[in-house]
Amino acid sequence: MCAKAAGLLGFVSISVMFLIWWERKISAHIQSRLGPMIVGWHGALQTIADTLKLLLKENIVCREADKLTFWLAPLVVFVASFLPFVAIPFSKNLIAQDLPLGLLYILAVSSVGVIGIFMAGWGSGNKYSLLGGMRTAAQIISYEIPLVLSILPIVMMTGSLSMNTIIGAQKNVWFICYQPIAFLIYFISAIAEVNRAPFDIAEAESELVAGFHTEYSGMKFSMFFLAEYTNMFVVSVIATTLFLGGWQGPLLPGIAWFLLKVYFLIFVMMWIRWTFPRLRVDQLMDFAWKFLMPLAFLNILVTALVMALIK
Amino acid sequence: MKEFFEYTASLIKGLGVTLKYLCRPAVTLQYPKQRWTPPERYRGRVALRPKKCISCQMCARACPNNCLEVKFNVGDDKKRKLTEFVYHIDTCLFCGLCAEPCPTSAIFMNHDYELAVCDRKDLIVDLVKVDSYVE
Repeated sequence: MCAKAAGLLGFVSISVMFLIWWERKISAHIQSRLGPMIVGWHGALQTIADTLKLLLKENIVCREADKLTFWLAPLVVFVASFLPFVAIPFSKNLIAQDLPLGLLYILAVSSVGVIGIFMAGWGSGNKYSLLGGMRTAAQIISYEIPLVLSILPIVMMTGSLSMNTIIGAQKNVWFICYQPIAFLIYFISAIAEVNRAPFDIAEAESELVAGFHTEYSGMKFSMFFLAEYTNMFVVSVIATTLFLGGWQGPLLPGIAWFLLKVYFLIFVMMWIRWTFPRLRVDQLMDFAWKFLMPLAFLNILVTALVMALIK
Repeated sequence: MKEFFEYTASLIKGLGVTLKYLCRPAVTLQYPKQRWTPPERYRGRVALRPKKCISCQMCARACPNNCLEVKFNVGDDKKRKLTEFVYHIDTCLFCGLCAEPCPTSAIFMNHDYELAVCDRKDLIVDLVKVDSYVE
């Protein structure tokens, strides 16, 4: 078990390092810049240099901070983003534990992260952090609902919560063909779940300095960073598994297909981030409660009706 | 409903714009390694062809900031001989007005844009010593 955990941790670290470099490159080229170019080939080792710098930095805890909460918050956020990897099917047999309730497990543990973010906001003893933390809590709880509702039709169709069974059911046709609206709802909610632009009101630079991680420095800050990119990976994994046929694909081995699909979805997230401006808080809430949720319910209803008719 | 489709279309259009820029080459130059080629009529610092100068001082008079000092001797043949051409780069605004009236085209704007120095004194130069443009 320890070997599996160590392997997954290694994969997560390398993947996040790659994703940070990739995001910097994509953002740069979208803005006609070059991005990191000096350290390594096209700046490929830049993230390693940055990580080393963060490791060596001083750990600042401000006077007004609630020390224990402040210390624990980054750990809670990272652990919550790392736990879903237990049930992620990288390939047919490359899965740490094929849980029968895998999907439920992933959704359950990944939503613990919001507590960590709120702890960070509360524990910092800073008004910007607190505002950021409260906004995140409101946002993540709101978007969790359409997110889960968009997954329900898939579970109804397959009758299973096991990740490998859901992938197996997409042998001939990917579920995105049956459930395009569910995919869109899921993807939009997922972007909001991981607090990325255009839903990044939690850390809105122009309003809240850096939101919940304003007071964090050094290694604790990098834990939040690590968690953000790990979360991106996890939500893309769920999308790949539920809608894009998981590790299935011709010619290439399963893991290659799986990573290709996941990284493509992450690329789309980055692309969206560097295209759209941020939503206002009220617009964000309106969108979740007045648009996405009714649409998700309607989608479930239609799916149920069609299933009943076919039977 | 119409608005909804309009908004969605504009979102997709926006994504198209960024994708287009993503595929285009970057405009950044990696400065010390890559150099920029200035356009032909680019105005860098003032430069002098000392042998052509007749010390008429038209340039010094044209300069709005008085950053040129032309020093000369009058020889036995009553011709002026340029001894020093002091140029204050720190006050120069690179307008090129000095180069225009020059009857012999001795003074011109070259393409030199890397004018940073460590000491302010280095910004006051004698072009007779610095420039050896011959034409």
